[in-house]
Order: sequence, then C-alpha cells, then structure tokens
Amino acid sequence: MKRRILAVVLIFMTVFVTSCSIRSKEDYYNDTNSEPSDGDSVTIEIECSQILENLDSLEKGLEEYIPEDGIILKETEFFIEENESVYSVLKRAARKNHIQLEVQGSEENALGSVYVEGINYLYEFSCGPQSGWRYAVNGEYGGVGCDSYKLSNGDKIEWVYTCELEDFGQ
Amino acid sequence: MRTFSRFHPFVMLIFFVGVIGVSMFSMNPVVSLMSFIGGLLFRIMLGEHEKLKRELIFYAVLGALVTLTNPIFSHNGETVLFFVNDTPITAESFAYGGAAALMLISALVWFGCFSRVMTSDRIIYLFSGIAPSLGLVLSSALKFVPSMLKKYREIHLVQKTLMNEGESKKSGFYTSVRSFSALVTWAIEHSADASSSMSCRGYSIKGRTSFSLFKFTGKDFLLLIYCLFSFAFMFIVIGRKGAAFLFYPRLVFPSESTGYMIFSGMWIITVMLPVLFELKGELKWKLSN
Repeated sequence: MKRRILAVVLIFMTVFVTSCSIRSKEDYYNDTNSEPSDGDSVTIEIECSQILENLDSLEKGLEEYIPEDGIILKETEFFIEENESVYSVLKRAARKNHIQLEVQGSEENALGSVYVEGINYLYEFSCGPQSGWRYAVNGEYGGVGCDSYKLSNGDKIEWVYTCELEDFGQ
Repeated sequence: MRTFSRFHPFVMLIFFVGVIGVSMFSMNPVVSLMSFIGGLLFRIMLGEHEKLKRELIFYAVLGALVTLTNPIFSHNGETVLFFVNDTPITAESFAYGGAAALMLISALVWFGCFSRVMTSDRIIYLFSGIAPSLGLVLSSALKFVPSMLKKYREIHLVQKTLMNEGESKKSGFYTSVRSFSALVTWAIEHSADASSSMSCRGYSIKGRTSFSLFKFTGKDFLLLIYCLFSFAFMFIVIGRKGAAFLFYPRLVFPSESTGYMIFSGMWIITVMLPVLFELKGELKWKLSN
C-alpha cells in the first residue's frame, strides 16, 4: 500500500517537473531571440521618482534599489508585434535589462488580469499603504489591466511607482 | 525533580506566554534557533522520549514543507537560483521559508512543554478567579485530545479482534471507519456526562473555590520580576524592529546595536531558565542520595 502511494506521488512529481521549463539565470536573460526586429514600435520608461519625495515611508533596506534620479529604465524603444499588450512589452524590457519583475497572473487574482506586484524589488506597499505600480500610455492612465491594453504604433508607455493612490485616474 | 513546575502557575503562565510570543514575533532565525534549542532541552528533561521522537520527525517534515513551499509563492530576492516557467526561484525566499519553519517549530516545542508542565489543576486554579468557565473549557479541551486518541486506540484494538483473520484491506478500512464512529459517539456522550457531573458538583456556582497547594514565594516573585522586565524589554526591541532580519531583496542581519546585544543575552538566559532549574533540581536530588 505504502509503495503504491509512493509510486503515485513520484509519477505526479515527474510529470510536474517535466512540464516545467527550468532554466538558469543566464539562459533566461539571454533568451531574446523571439524579439521582432522591425515594424511598429513603442517606447517604455520605468520610474519611481515619487519615492524620492517620500523616503520616510520607504521600507527599510530598499534605499539602495532606488536610482538617484528615480529612473529605473530610461525611455527605450521596442518593436512590437500586432496586438501586443503593455504587459508583454514590460516583460521583454525587464528581461532585456535584467530588471527584477514579479507579477500576479490573471488566474491568481480577482481582477482577472495581470497585476504587477513589484519591479526592481520595489513592491506594492513598499512605500506606504497606498503605494504600488501603475502605467500610463501616452500620459493617460489606462482603466484596464496591463495585459489587456493593446498597443499601437508610436505609443509611449510609462510605468510609474506611486506612493499615494489619490491621483488615480488623472 | 521537576523543579520548574514547582513555580507558581501564574509565573509559569507569564513565562510561557512571553517565550512563545517572542519566538513568534521576532522573525529572526537566530532567536528562533535559540528558542528551539532551549525548548527542546526542556522537553527532553520532561520525559516521554518515544513521543518526542515521533514529534521530532513530524517537525522535520513540517519544516521541510514550509521551507520548500515558500519559494512557490514568493519570488522576491536578489539571488536567483533558476527560473521555472519564467518565474525566478530565489535563495532569499528559501531563507525566509526556513526562518518561518524554525519559528513555527520552536513555538510548537514550547507548546509541547507548556501542555506537560501546566496541568489541568494549574489551569483551573489560574482561571477560577477571573473566568471559571474559560478555565474549565481550557483544561477539558487540553485533556480532550489525548484522551480521545487513547480511547480510539482501545476501540480500534477491540474492533480488530472482531475481524476475521485474512480479511481484505477493504474491511480493514471499514474497521477504522466503525471505530471512528464509535469514538465520536463516545466523545459526545462523555462530554455531556462530564458537564452534567461537574455542574452537580457545583462548578458553575459563583464563588466556588478549589483546593490547591500553590504558594507565591519569594522565588516566584523574583522570577516574575525578571520575566516582566525582560519580556517588556524584548517586546520593545521587537516593536522598534531592532531584532528583525530583512529577507528581501537581500538578507540583512540586524545591526549590532546595544539593544540587540542585550536582547540576545537576555533571550539566551530566558530560554535556558527551565533547563537550568531542572538541572539544579536533578543535582540536588543526586547529591541528597
């Protein structure tokens, strides 16, 4: 009986492990072959300058991860495929520039869309109870999740770390 | 022998609440490790080694599980070990899981000591003044689980003898189910019996006193003062995050401030206190023979 249970567990584990793709850090960051190299393009910028004004409420130990000018990724151009989303460009940008990124998948939360928890070790609630990441396209904060916003040629994406949610929707 | 349990129940309660509280809220693996060692030594001195062995195996499995599951849910951390489906698995999240596991295990070990030292008469004595029914519920709840396990073993043994030799595994399963059903019946009946019997003896009457031999001596007073002082200090240090490890995005040890140094020294003494008292008692016993 015990042996049978062990066998079932082992089979499940092998199936689980083989269905995952396990890669080393280098392999992950060097895998940028599937990037489109021409066509429509957008620009993306990641910045957290609001934290510089609210350093008091920043969690201990995170000071060193904030660039002096607050810009984690300066405006960079990316070629896009048709119907590519803001999230997909963010993911590519993070991978290309070795920026840490953690998201909550669309199946993991009640929003039904991807939610960006942290970029460059700066997470939601890291700088006060109303802090977190949000994005604007062409200066306008989108009302949809970042994986549903479809980009078009010449769009300008900004990922902004906000410390107070009050200005939401501006 | 049992020197530590000679202290007044109130002092012991304060001691255990403090030790378990500091172990649980410090979030510092060094503190948890010291707490685990102190608790384990005390637990060894309290006997029941067979049971302790089984408990330790359980703790090891639990600890491994907590350590290994944390990286599944937390991907923060600078030291990326590898990527699984484009999600980083980091050394820091393993460290955090390990620290949480250690904290959990140390609290469990201390709870094991607590339930052996704080017998039901002590709990009833402690709560009879302020909340008699709470004390009763606590002491019967603490008694309930071990007595139920004992009863289950009895019932199961009898049920197994009723089973014919060579019967299939399926009927073995039915035996377990039958035993469990009998156990539930027994438990309900037993608790109803016990409660009516106790109310006949006047447990629910206000002002009922119970006989006890607990005396508050000078030694108790000294230990109480030490406990109150040291736990107050330690909780202040914890409240100001003076002892906290930072796990994300990179492990940062607490700065070696004077407060943290005093905290560590106090903590070692505190978790070793029961063992020291037991050792002293043992020594006295050996010398007197």
